[in-house]
Amino acid sequence: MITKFGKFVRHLRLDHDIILKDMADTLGVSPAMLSGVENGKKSVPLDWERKIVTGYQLGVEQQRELHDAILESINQVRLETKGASYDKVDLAVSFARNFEKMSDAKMKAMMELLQEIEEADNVGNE
Amino acid sequence: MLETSESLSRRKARTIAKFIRGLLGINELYVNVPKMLETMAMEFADFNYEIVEDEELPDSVYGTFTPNNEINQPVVIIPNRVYVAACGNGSTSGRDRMTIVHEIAHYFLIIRFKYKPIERLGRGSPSKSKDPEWQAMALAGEILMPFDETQHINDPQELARRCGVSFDAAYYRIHKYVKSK
Repeated sequence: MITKFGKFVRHLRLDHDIILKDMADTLGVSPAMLSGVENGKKSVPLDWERKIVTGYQLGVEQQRELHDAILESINQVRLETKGASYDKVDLAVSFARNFEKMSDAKMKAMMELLQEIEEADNVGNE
Repeated sequence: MLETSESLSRRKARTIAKFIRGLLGINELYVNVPKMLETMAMEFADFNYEIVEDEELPDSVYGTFTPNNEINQPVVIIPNRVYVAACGNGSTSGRDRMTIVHEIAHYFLIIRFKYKPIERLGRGSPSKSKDPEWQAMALAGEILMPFDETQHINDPQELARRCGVSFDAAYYRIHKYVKSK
């Protein structure tokens, strides 16, 4: 079944007058991979949001729509832990273990902490 | 063996093809088939398409149309290799473009025009005008090679080049339906 993410990118393709293969090339994947994600058979890879935003120069409103569409369509998040430190793997596993039972307050606090990390990272990259 | 209760004549297929081309805003002779899939998915809320990994379908299957999948939605399924070939102009692109339009033709005939296939009760094969596969082939041929615009073309190679179909499809069209008209 077509996901919200699938609907968003299909509209985006019409707006840009391109086909699925063009978008798959931009994302560096096969048409089958992109189609599988659109139809909810595969999860949206984490780096696609950035690739779509930059590749199609999305405005602020479209960026928000894309972000919402991805969140609604995502059903699994995979973390690559190969080569990561013991502490990082421990953190990832601990997060996964506590994900379902996390309270709203703790989730909010954790989100703020992650945003701080992201902002500090962005400042560092400027 | 499946057949439809209604017959589809070649003339009717031409009329339906003309209607579909108009509906999808296809004004050029050459149909951009991958674009047609995109437009279909936007124009018809009940239409969906999926490009699947080659291993998900047997090698001998180039595309399928399912009128009712698990969520009761008609879906055209195309293996990756067929879709990619239809996007280019390699040696099989004519055949692969025709395959995709053939599956789209099933959607139009079954869902939009109610040529619903049912199990054939009698013995033997159905007449070709009631055979769902022949119907889809005829409609796909008329979409890719619209009769009015191509009936003056008597060279299969030229027809194949201008319409992006295989030489065999162009030859069949000219010798069966143009020269005999």
